[in-house]
Order: sequence, then C-alpha cells, then structure tokens
Amino acid sequence: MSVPMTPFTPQEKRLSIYLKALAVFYSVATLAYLIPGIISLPASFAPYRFLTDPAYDNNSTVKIALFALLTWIAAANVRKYREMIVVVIVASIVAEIASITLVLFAKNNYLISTNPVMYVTDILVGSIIFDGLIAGVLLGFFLSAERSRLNLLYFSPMQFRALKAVAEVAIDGEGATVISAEQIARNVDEYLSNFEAKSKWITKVVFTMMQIFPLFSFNPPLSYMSREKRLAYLKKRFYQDVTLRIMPEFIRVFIQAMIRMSKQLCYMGYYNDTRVFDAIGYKPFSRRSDYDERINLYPEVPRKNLIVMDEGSIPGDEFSAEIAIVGSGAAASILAHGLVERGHHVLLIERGKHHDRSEFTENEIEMVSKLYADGALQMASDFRFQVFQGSCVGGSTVVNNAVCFDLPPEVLDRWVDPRGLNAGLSTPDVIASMDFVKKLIHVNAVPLLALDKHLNPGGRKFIQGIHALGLHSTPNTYGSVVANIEHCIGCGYCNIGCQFGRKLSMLDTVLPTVQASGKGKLEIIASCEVLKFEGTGENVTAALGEFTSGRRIKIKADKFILSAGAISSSIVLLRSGISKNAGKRLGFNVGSQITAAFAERIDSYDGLQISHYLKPSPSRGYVIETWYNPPMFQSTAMPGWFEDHYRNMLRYNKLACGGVLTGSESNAEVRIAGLTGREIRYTPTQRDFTNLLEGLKLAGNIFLAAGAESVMPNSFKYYEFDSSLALSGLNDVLKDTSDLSIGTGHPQGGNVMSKDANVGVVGPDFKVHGYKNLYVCDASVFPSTLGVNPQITVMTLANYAASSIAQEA
Amino acid sequence: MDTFLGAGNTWCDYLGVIVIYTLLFVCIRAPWPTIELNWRVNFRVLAICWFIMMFTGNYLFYLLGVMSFLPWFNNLLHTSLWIGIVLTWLYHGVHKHSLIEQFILFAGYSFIVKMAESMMLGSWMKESFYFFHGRYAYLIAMSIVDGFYPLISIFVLRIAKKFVRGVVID
Repeated sequence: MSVPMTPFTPQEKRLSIYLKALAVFYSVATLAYLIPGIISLPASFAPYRFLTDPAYDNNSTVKIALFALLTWIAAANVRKYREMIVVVIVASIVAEIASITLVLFAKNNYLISTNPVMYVTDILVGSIIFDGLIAGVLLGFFLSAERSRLNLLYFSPMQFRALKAVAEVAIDGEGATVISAEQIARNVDEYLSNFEAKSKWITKVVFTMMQIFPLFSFNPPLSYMSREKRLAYLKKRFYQDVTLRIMPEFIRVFIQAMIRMSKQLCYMGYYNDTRVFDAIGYKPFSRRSDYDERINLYPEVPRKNLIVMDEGSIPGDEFSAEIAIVGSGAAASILAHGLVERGHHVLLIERGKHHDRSEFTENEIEMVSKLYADGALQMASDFRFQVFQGSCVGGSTVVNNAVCFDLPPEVLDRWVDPRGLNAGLSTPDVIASMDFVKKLIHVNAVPLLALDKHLNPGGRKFIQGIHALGLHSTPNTYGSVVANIEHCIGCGYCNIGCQFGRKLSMLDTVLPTVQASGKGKLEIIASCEVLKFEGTGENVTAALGEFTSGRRIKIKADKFILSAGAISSSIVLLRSGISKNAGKRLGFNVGSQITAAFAERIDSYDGLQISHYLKPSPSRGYVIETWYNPPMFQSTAMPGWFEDHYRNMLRYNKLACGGVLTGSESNAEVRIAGLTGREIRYTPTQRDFTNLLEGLKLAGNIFLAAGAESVMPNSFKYYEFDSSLALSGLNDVLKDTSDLSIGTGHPQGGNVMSKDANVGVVGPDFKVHGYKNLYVCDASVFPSTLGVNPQITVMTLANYAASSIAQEA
Repeated sequence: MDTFLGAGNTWCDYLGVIVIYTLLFVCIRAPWPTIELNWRVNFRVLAICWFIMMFTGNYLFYLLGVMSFLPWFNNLLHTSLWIGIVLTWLYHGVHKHSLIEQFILFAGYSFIVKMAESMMLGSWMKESFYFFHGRYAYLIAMSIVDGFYPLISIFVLRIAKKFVRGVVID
C-alpha cells in the first residue's frame, strides 16, 4: 500500500494521539493483569478471585498485550500501519459480540467475588461497556481520519477503496489510461454526491459487498488483492462462473447486479472525464469544427418562459385547484392543453425539478442527475433489467429521442376487441386524435426534422446494409425517423436534454404555450412527489404531496388525473389502496443493442441520436433503430469486459449501434416492495427473448452487409462476430435474457384500460373503476405493449381523454 | 371475574384466542392486503355497526334464552376483533361474489373460531339448540347465523348510506 506524502490531517493527528494514549493504557493494563497473579496480594484481596486467577489473567494479558503492541506501532504512523488499527477495531468488535453472547446465554455464571457479591457476568457487562467505549471512540476517530485523508464527498473509505480497486482493472488494456484509478474513483464520488436520486445509496451497498465478497471464498478483501490477482478473481467469480452457470440462480443474480453496477459506475467516472475524450476520438459538440456553422444554420429558437412554483412559493399546507394532474410529461402536458383550452383551471404536480433549457450542458453526468434522478436507477427486482425514465418538468419528453411512430392499427384493433381486452375506445376518434396531436407537436420528417448530414452517421451505414440485403422493398418500412424535432443541428445530446430547443419537448413547447395563452389557468408545482390520494367513498378528496425537503402538502381538487408514467402511476394507486388490479399487466418495449465496428472513422456521435429505423413487415415483433450516444452513456452499453471493453471504447468513433425494440408480453408487475419501495417484477418470456435474438441477428447482418468488420451484441459474455455465418450461432451461445443486457425507456400497462372492472383499472372514459373523480391517463393504461416508441400514442390518448374529462367537468 | 373472563379462564387463554384470530386474519387478508380507498367508509361503518349489534345482541339473546352466556371479555373480543375487523375485511374482499359463496365462507370461518373459543374458553356451549341435540348443534347453528353476515350487511349499508357520507353500494 502506497503511503501518500501529504502532511497528516488534524483528524489523523487526533487519531495518533489517541492511539498513543491507548498504547500506554494497554501496556499498563498488561502489567496490572500479570503482577497480582505472580506476587502475594494482601489477604483483603482474597474475595476477588478474578485478580489472582492465573487462567483469567493469562487470557486477558494476551489480549491486552497484543492490543498494546498494535496500537504502539500504529501510533507511529497512522497511514502506514492503518491495517493494525483495523485489526484492533475488528478484534474489539469480536470481543464485544463474544461478551454479549456469554452474558445472554452462558450456563455457568459462577460467583467471582463475595464482597461485594459479583458474578462473572457482572465483570463481562462492565467489560462490554468499558471496551465498547474505547473501541467506539477508536472507530469514530479512525473513520474521521480516513475521510479527511481521502477527502471523500459520498463514499466511505472502504467503499472508495473497492471502487478504486474495480476501476483499476475494469478500465485497462493496451496503452495507459488517461486518468488514474484514483481519479476515476474521485470522479464517481463527486458525481454521486451531487446526484439527485434517493435510491443512490444502493451504490454504497454494492461497493461494500464488492469489498467483502472475496472473504467468502477465503480471499482478502478486494482492494487488498494485488492488481493481477484482483483481475483474475473478478474474471473468475464475476464473469466465468456466471456465464458457466456454476452457482445457484439467486447468487448469480446478485453477482451480476454487483458487477454490472460497479462497472457502469467506473465507466461513468472515466468516460465522462473530458481528459479522456481525445483518446477515444470524441469531440463534444462545442468543440467540433463546424459548430459555428451549425449553430448559425437556422435562427435561434427563442426560449419560452415557463412559470413553475416550488416549495418556497407555496405557503401553508394546502393548495386547491379545479383539476389536479400528477405528472408533467407527454400525457400531462397534452391533457393540460386540452383542458385549459376548454376553460378549465389545471394544476400539474411534478416529482422532478424544473430545469430550464438554458441550464442544459454537454456534461452527461450532470444532466442525468438533473433530468433523470431516480429514473436512472430503476431496476427490475432481479437487477437485470433497467427502466430509464425522465424525472423533471416536461417528463421523459425532455430526455427521449422524440421518435414518433403511429399507434399500430393491429394493436388498436386488439385493444378494442370486445372478445379480448375490450378497452372500449372509439377507433375513429383515436385516429382523429392522433392526427391532431401530430400537428400540435410538429411531427416532422427529413429535411424539416434535420438535414440528412445531421443524422447519426452510423444510420447511413445501416441504410446501406438494408439496401445490400434487399430489405428496402415493400412491405418493409425503413428510412430516417419522424419525430417532433425541427431543424436539428445534430449535437447528439437528445437523451440529456436539447439545449438548442430543436427537440420540441413539452418543457419547451406545449407547457409554456398553454401557460401563456391560458392566462393563469395552468399552474405547475415542481419537486413535489404525490405520495397517495385520500378520499371519502367514491370521491377522491386530496392528493398528499411531499417536497424534497420532506414537507408535506395536501392538494385539493374537483378532479384528479394520474399521469405520472407507467411505473409511478401504479405506485401512487397502490399506495392509496386503489384498485386491486393496479400495477399488474405491465409490459415494456424491451430493448437491446448490437454494436458494429468499421475499419474507417464514422463518428456516429456526430448527429441525431436515433436517426434511422427498419420495421420488417409482416411484423416480426420488433423494430430496429440506429442509436448512438456521447461516451459515458455509450460506455454503459458497450459490449465487452476489461480489456475488450477498453479496446472497444478506443474505437468509439469507428462504431455504429443499432437497438432492437420488441413489445414484451404484459407479464410484469410493479409492487410496493423491495429496496426502493417500487419493485418491478419482470421475467422476459421465451417469445420476447426470441424476438430480441432475431432482431439482433438481423441488425448485425445489416451492419455486416454495410461493411462492418465485426458486430457485438450487448451480452454478458463478450462475443464478436465477423460474418453472417458466425452470427447465426447467436442462439446457441445466448441461452436466455440473463445472458443479454436489456433495458427500456418505455414501460407500458400496469393500470390497463378495460370495460371489465375485474380486468382493468380504468374504463374507456379513463376513470378509475369505482371512483367518480379519479382518472389515469398515461402509458400505464395501454392494454398491451406497442412494440414501437409510445410517445405519440400516449399523447393521442391524452388528447382523447381531455375532451371526455372536460365534458364531465 | 367468572362473568368477565369465564370460569377458570386466564389471560393466557385469551392470548391463545387472539393468536387464532391473527392467523385467520393473515389468511383472509392475503388476497386483499389493503382496504380499497372507496370502501374505507363502508369498512368503518360495518365494523362499528356489527360490533354494537353483536355485543348487545349476544347478551340480549342470552337473556331471552336463545344463546348461552358469553363472558364479557370473550364477547368484547369476538364482536370487536373477529366480527368487527376480520369478518368485515373478509366481506370487503368477497362482497361481489355470489351470496351462496359468501354464506359458506362466513359460516365456515365462524365455525372454526367458535370451535376454538369453545375449546379454549369453554364458551359457545349448549346442550341443544331447539330440536337439535349434541355438542355441535349449537355451534353449527350459531355459525350458520354468522353466514348471514353478508346479507345483513347489504341492508346495513343501504341504511347507512342515508346518514353517512362516503358509503358506497356496489
């Protein structure tokens, strides 16, 4: 262990003084135990057997002398000999546990002194208190000294060491890394200290477990292993053993979760650091050679002012509105538009904060913290499936790719089938609503959406491949996407908020427009999470909200509309004790990526993130979309481990990526359980898995046909396929979805719509069955998954609902 | 004390009865862990009404000679915890099922509880019930009476709806 040359901190000096005092005390105590046993004490000491009993004296002398030795050495240099302090602390804790156990359960509690009457347990109780105080102070001083030396903002010293140990081997390969493992760990510590997510404490648990996990196989803690041994250990326990399935499933899940989160945090720490960008061939938009040209290509989009209330602007513990909508995303904004236009007074209550477009930057971590918060850390209960969701005013529309696919007609037919889910929607009205919404939010195609040269360059390779394979003929649909984007200049930052206002998110368009035209009829409260509803009989009377400070507020309204997204809406209903069906029949657009490596530089990051797509027809159950991210996000989806991952990131500017999206079956469920109180239970079905595999193979073949040297699915075990023939064996190496990294930004269902109250949560009027003034309107009411990006469908239903809700008001 | 706890009964015997209630409550609650928000007023109304009706009814029917005497504490626990809370919870869960199903459930659960109370506290004992003789005749008859809980609850709620805001008839 290297010893830093920086001067001792005041906390370390304090620890050193305390250790010196302990060394003296333990030395004196050693003599005090020995002397009475070997000299003749006066007769008056006779009743005190514990002072003269050789066995008792021997044990205590050994313990105390050892402590004296360790503290004496540690006091000389608390950094160099920190392990000795750890030994004293651990030994003290063991002694405390042993003493407490004996006090509670010992069978032989013999009399050790008659005057005063004293049993051996009395001595033990005294020892527990006295030794506990000494050890407690030592532990406090030790942790304080460690923190002051490492100058940590979030992690404990032990967690920090584990993080640094993982970083040292997770980001390595041929050639030196640009920044050290210490710096990577410091970056992560700083990021997390600023990260606005309640559930970030899970990262602490992960690194604590990473540190101590090797102990279970008789290895030293992770950070105490040499670099080579650590790498070998991680490869064996976290990679080979998992892929070979030589451990019980529940341990495998746990191990996969630990290593996945550890790796991803290390990647965050490394690839978000601007010093790394040159090494991987990435140029942030502001440093690109044609930055000025692109900025000046179109007139600047004027920023519209949005007035948002926060905790400080709301006095008292009650707030009243005519219609209260929980959420401020795609559905809530369109609902607000429809209701305000019809003369109603609407209040939006948003859990996330309000960040104006002018606050958006190129820093991925900063923006993830601001715009996603807890939405970036949502995982299924088996930790294998990540559910990304925006958490800010404007909701996911601020961070999505704005891709607009129509509600597929076959899906709508299934929804309204009276013999099936029987949603009871009017098909012509839904179609009319969809047309209206597309105009309202300005759904555009190339060139109004963007010039072709500003689309993701990797997408052009994708289109080449489609042509090469002959997939460009009807009935397949393919090409550049349509989206509510106008004059995109291709910065590639869709997922961290468009600072140029080209993506027409609700934050930038509908909400400020409605607020301006509604003349005070649209109010928005931010940073206030609706915990639950309160009510009397069939009437909901209030929504109980909680600000980030913990202050609670009661929001009263005539009508309540829940539009918080598929996961959160179900959670609010469940917390309120509403509907036995809430949270059930949840599904997702499950996605997984495949990365293609080209010989030449293509700079996929330099353009619209999701730019092209292929929708095979007749439907094969999936759609393929090209997709590329700035380095931090891309590193978390980059295939490979250790040196493979590092090598792939070094060719970051020669890669293209395609995402396969398949609408899952509605077999998932969200419940109030688990570590964060929102447990998502989801196991992909064989059909979901098969669709994903087929989609990945097709995407891989398209890229190979476009000249890619190799393609790599985002699998747990690393595979690189250099031919179509090799890729055809994908089914043989990937056994189930645990072998594949999967995720989604599109949860759907949970509060499904059906005329049948035994099946659905809401009826065709979006009203919750059994309630007069409570509605749900967001992706959670979808009776089944769409299989395409759901934004337009969410908005279509919101616009459809607005007219019926307004009529009732 | 004999009329309060019952002859020969101790607090420990009552603890055993509460354990039985709790176990049955766990079973009954499992499919319906929470009371639906729109039904909470119903729950409170039914729990209170049933407690008052049964607590007084049990004593009045004893005076009329129809029922055996229930020690006061037994009566209190049985009518407040068992009927008031547990059976009302059960009714919340099954009130949309057919009346026959509800009848069987209520009579069945009641028989289990009365049997347990009979064995642990010596209550619910009567030599005969009108023309029926034997130890179980009275127990079965009283359980059958409890089977009418759902039917009577419908009327209770209908009447309560006129006086209490938030009562829902569904």
